[in-house]
Amino acid sequence: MTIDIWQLQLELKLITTLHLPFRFLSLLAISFSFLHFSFSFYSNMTSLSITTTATTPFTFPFHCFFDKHYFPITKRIQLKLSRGGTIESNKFSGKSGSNKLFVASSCLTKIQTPVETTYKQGVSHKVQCLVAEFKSLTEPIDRVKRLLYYAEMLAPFDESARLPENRVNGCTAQVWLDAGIDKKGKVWFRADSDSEISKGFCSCLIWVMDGADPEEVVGVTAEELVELNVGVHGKVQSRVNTWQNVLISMRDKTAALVAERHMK
Amino acid sequence: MEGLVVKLPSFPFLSPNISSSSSSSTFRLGFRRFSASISAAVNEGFVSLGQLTRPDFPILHQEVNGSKLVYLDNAATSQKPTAVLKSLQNYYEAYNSNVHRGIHYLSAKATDEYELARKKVAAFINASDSAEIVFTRNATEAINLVAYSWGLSNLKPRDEIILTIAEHHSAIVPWQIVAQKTGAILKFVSLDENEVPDVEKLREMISTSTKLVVVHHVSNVLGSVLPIEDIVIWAHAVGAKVLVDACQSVPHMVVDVQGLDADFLVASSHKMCGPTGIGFLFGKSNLLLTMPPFLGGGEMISDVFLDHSTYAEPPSRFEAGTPAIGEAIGLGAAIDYLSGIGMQKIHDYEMELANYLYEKLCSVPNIRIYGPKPSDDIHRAALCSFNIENIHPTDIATFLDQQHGVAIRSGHHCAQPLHRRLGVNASARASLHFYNTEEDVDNFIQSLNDTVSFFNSFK
Repeated sequence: MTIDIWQLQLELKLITTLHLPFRFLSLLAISFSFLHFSFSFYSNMTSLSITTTATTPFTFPFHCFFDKHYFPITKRIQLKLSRGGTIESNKFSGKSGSNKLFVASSCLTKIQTPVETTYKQGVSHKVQCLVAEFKSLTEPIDRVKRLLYYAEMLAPFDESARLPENRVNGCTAQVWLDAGIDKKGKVWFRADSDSEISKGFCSCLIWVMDGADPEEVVGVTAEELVELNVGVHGKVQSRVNTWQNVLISMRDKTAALVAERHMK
Repeated sequence: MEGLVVKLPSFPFLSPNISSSSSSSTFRLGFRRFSASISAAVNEGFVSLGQLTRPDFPILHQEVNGSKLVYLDNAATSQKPTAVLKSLQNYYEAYNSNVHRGIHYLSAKATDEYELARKKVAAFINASDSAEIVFTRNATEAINLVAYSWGLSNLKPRDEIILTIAEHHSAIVPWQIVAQKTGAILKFVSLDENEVPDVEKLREMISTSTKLVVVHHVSNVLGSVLPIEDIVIWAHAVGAKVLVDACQSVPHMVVDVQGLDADFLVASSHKMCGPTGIGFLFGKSNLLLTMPPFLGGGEMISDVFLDHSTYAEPPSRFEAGTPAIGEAIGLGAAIDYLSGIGMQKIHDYEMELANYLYEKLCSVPNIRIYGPKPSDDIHRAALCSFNIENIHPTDIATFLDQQHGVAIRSGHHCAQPLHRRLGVNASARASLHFYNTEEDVDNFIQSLNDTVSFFNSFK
């Protein structure tokens, strides 16, 4: 299994050249970097080890994600790099069918987003991407299959968040949604469901909204996403319309978080 | 669709709804002859009841999502034969008018047909008098009627109401509300080892404090049938009344309220091939006479003054406002249609289908079917609620619909306490009616197996 690595252009004070042992997809001129990424495989698992020739220790937070969409498969990983040396990160499992591993870091001042990934794009752009993608699937069964594919991508749900107040009402399956605002004022979401199709919906919605500004989250309407109607025909406002219920819940929780923040 | 076509050379062509006049005698005569030919055809084994009646139901002949529709959600609502559709159209085209008070010709005719529908319902469940039939919007409203009218004026603190945990929400929630208002206590009977409400425990629970027993006749999840005659005997021995929820029994078998000796019985038209928006409450005359009104308004009054009003006799006392006239007449037409086939015939056919469905479902790997195992003593209704390991019932239902055009239901089927007791959040349910065939069941099982392999391949 080969790995294509999309290399971020890093703007940092201490830089040297990048060593890349694998075939990689380079879309940018690599002028600044000091990180050496290497991957090793254990069946379905990937571990990331990083070597640095930096002279000052620092903490390097980053996310790893598969597929061209940004699906956080683990929590943010903080790697403390001491001066010069190699450390091994956590292992993360790659789901079947995906062999592109991307590494993105939010500690950087400037990130070049290549055309291929949708990391750091605005919510409305992502909504359009999602709608276009589902619209292109004319067979209803293909939409179901796509949802199941995205269900696999959903980040694991923290058991401590599986609380009654996080249940999304009105779905025939059980859906939990957890939300919060981080220090930068961006909203994060995590969700889970006992139904795979519902998980797929959650996955799509989280891809759109996770890490976005609260204003953008609140601005998404159900009408825009009506192409997501898989298994619910037409524009029906039925109580079993999971993705609509999750969307409403996301908006409500965001509004509540913003209000809480302003009160402090 | 010109009604039923019997495609056999030895039987004459008979269309039950050929008469253009809505004269009831022509209708009934047509159906008697119709019934004879159906019995003969089915008895001679040429064709099953399902195959014979399918042409009467135009809605069944369509494609959904590129596959032939296989409708297996009859416990949620049944489909309507052309006869019922035509009677509704005929009502609005020929004699629509408000009932009971009008003098003119159309009004008299509408009143006649509306009251005739009431008589048909009474005859269908063998009530002794049509005044014992109160038309409501559906069974839920009928239960609320008993709760608010009989319950509020007869229940006192510490009086007990016995229900089973398998009751439909509509049979539980009104009593929770009324119990809170009156101080009465609700007691629930759990399931026995056959996954049927424990009838022995129910018997033990009945005491002198019991004022009402609320039970379903046939369970919409478990497919089980309760021994209503016995329950009524035990309840009456302590002076308690019995309310029977017959929504899943009246459409599928012979129900005789005098034989059961039930005090109250409710059913919905839309589950028995009739239109939505109408249902009925059967209540014994002596009970209805003592009950205060439920909804107030026109039609249920005798005289209205500014400071008080006097009320009409039952059943009018409980039918406030303009009723669902067309719908009641449609229900009457549905009853004619069902009687034309014969409820015993329908029941016998559905029993065969029930066993066939259960057998076939058992062959699906990792399946768990809820309710009793059918045997010589235990009969199941033609419905199965089930779960398959590791696949959510909603996912199953979605895939069945999208890929195979098979319509089943998933969820808690308005029986959350029952699902909690069974240890699941939701289940899938396939429910049949007399216009389903063995081919429908085969189709369903094949599609279900395909669904299971699809989801398993994703794991």
